Amino acid sequence: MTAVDDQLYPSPLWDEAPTDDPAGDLIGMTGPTIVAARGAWLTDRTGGRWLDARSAAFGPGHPAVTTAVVEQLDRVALSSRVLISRPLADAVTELARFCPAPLELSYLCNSGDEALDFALKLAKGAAPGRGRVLGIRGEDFGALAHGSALRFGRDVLHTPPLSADAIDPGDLERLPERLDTSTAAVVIAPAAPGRGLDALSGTWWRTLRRRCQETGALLVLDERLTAPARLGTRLGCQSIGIVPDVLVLGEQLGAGTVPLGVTVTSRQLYDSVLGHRNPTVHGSTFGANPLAAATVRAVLDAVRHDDLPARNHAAQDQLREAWSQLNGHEEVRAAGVDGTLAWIRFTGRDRADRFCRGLSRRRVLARRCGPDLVAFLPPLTSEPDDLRHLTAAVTAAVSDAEKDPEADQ
Amino acid sequence: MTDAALADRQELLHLLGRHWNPPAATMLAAVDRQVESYAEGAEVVAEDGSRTLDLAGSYGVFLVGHGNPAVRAAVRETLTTNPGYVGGTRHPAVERLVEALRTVVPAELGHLSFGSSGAHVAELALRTVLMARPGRSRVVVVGGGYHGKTLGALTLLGGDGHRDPFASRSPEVVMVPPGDADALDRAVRGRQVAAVFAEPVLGGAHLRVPPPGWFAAVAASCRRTGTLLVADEIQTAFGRTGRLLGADHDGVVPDVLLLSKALTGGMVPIAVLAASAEVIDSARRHPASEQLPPLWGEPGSTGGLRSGVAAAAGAAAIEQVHALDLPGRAAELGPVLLDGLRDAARRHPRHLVDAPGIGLMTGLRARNPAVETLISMQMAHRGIHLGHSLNEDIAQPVLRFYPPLTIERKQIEQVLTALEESLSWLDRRPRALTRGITGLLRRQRSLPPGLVMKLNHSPLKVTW
Repeated sequence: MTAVDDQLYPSPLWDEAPTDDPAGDLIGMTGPTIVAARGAWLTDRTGGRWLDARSAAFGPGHPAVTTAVVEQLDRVALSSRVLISRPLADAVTELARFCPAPLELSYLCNSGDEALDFALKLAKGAAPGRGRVLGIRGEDFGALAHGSALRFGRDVLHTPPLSADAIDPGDLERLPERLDTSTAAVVIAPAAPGRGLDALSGTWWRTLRRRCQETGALLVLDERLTAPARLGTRLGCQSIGIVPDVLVLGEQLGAGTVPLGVTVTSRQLYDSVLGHRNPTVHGSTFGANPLAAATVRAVLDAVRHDDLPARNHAAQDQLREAWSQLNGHEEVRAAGVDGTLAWIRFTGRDRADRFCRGLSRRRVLARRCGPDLVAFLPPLTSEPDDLRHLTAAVTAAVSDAEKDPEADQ
Repeated sequence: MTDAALADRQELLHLLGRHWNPPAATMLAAVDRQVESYAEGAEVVAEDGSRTLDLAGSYGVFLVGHGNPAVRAAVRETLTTNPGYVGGTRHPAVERLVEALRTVVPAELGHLSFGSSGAHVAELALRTVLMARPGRSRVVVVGGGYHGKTLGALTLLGGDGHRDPFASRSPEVVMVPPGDADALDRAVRGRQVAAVFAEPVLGGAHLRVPPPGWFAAVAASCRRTGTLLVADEIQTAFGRTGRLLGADHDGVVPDVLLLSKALTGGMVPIAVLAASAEVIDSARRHPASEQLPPLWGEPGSTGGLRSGVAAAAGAAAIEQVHALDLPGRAAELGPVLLDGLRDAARRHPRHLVDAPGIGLMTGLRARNPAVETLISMQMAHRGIHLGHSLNEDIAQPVLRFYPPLTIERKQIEQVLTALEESLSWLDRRPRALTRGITGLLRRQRSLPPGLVMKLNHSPLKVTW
């Protein structure tokens, strides 16, 4: 191997877990080579099976979705967009039905992260004099510059159009008070790894909604992880009982396959920023492409046809039963389940490291969201048996984490 | 055309206007477009059976042609068997993509990070260079340069049109004229500049081929001053200019390289940032190094890539570039197209300024936006789509001709014949016409939509 190869293929499987997780994306292993994926299961080159509770997939191999996406692939995938697109008209019409009024205009782009970024761009365009965007430090706001700034609580560009004002997770209750007329937008997910739906009351959400109206800030609801169906409802905004100004959807709508994100907003907001401008003021070369559009349509059809909200709601009961046993473990500081968004916060990084290694030995992939925080996001189409496998592995790996570190070697 | 077909188009546009993008739906209605059905090679086919040669090509996306069979087969295979890419695992299509990228990216740029669009990786590049040169707050961009429209990438735009009102012009972003090596040297001389963002050939509606040696001079100025060079090859890479990379004409290896558009194989969005060890090592020494974008190959990291399908498309696209010797084809066929365009510019000086181009990255610089629009409409009537700038604020926009590099010589001849007919049509119109239409174009979005339809003789109505 050359030096470059060493860089690209660095560490052996099961080697010591990295101590930090800069990308929010590590579990401490280089991992198996996956050659097939169906539902919750990945098959590696040796025939070994792995449960994917990490990628927040829709669920690969769904027959109707796969058929629809392949059919579109065989016609036209990306497009020069000189002609009228039927798949696009279908997708945005379905999205308007799927989202609460007055959210009826959908901007299709290439990732949930880009969709979130466009929400911020709309906020800036609606109030160019405002310079702040509010979020919760440590949560995931995507990979673009403004999203990263919110996550890290400091700007990553020298002169960003919006400056990040990320509040400490411990100060969450006071977030609505933080809004003023310099705030362009608040970005918040209905629930997130480490923050269950019950962390914020209906009254809190209504207060936030009211404060946004009073100060003229946009309420951007980040549903990249929570929709569709993840929380046991079609959209997370149904769970919290408010309608945001902008709704952001992500990779789950792309069936975890076709890179896409969607920003849904009202005609009024859209027109106030982009209504009488050249349509090229915002856009993306690949945005609104027919393959993405056909995928959105197929996924929304499947959500309805398979009643995925109900299935993920039923999964919640199954997961909560197992999770209720975790509270007795002294290594577990907190744990939560909303639909199929489940998480465990450990009492320390070393415990989380040992837990992740234990989970990996059981061939379960979970998402490391922070030094002490691990999330479980099985595919939306997971079956009860898949979830039984997940909960058994989690229960056993929590016991591993309790063991003396020496015993782990 | 049947009434039913017209009603169907009217309904589709109504839905697009109500639920997607009202101004874009109005524009599509005004030019009375058909409904897209499928695409193959250099052609896009509408549901009514009409076929169009596609030289718009999303400004370079369809380098290997529409529906390239090898790319499509690779995408279908991965889509149906192993579509995702899960952190902590390896994916054969990703390994294949990385191997393929090695045949394009200079060996010095061993670190890879992925995104789903050019704007995405332009933002990653901006963050990375600011961390790698922490004492330097400035960035130099080229006037007319384009690196995407996300909120962070906007700050790098080499023009004001698309930035207003989302971002004000930053004092930290210094703009230099295109092709002017001395101006660039002066801009970086004070060692206050973290990086220069430049396209080896300025694309966009300003298409301009720099004087030979310009990019090498830029690289030399950067090297002398410790300034990083970010080469945005999103439009120029994979043979578009007649060489594998645009920087190859000057033998330049940048510090950071951005790739996208053609890398998709015309199928699935994907973009790559490739950076040198020096850039990444310097950025890692930054106190906020946890903000460094995810790098592919780090334990557990997918490097920002989330789709095995996108990787399959990228790998197959690069393999096609080599298998079909597309840089060679662009070098061979480019002059056929460019000579024809230059000839047209010489014969119709009333409408055309010149014909900039290199390889199959070519265009016609129009005297005013109306000329660009009228040629574009005339060519569309003759079954040829061109890359319209859609920017009526530019004084002399370039109407772009970016065919797939798989285009046939006889198709290029067909384009040139249609162009001559279109320009002759324009010659027969009074001189005042294009000035009047330019005025209308600049006011079109404040005109009543019904009037816009009427002026365009469109049978469609704006109902959204």
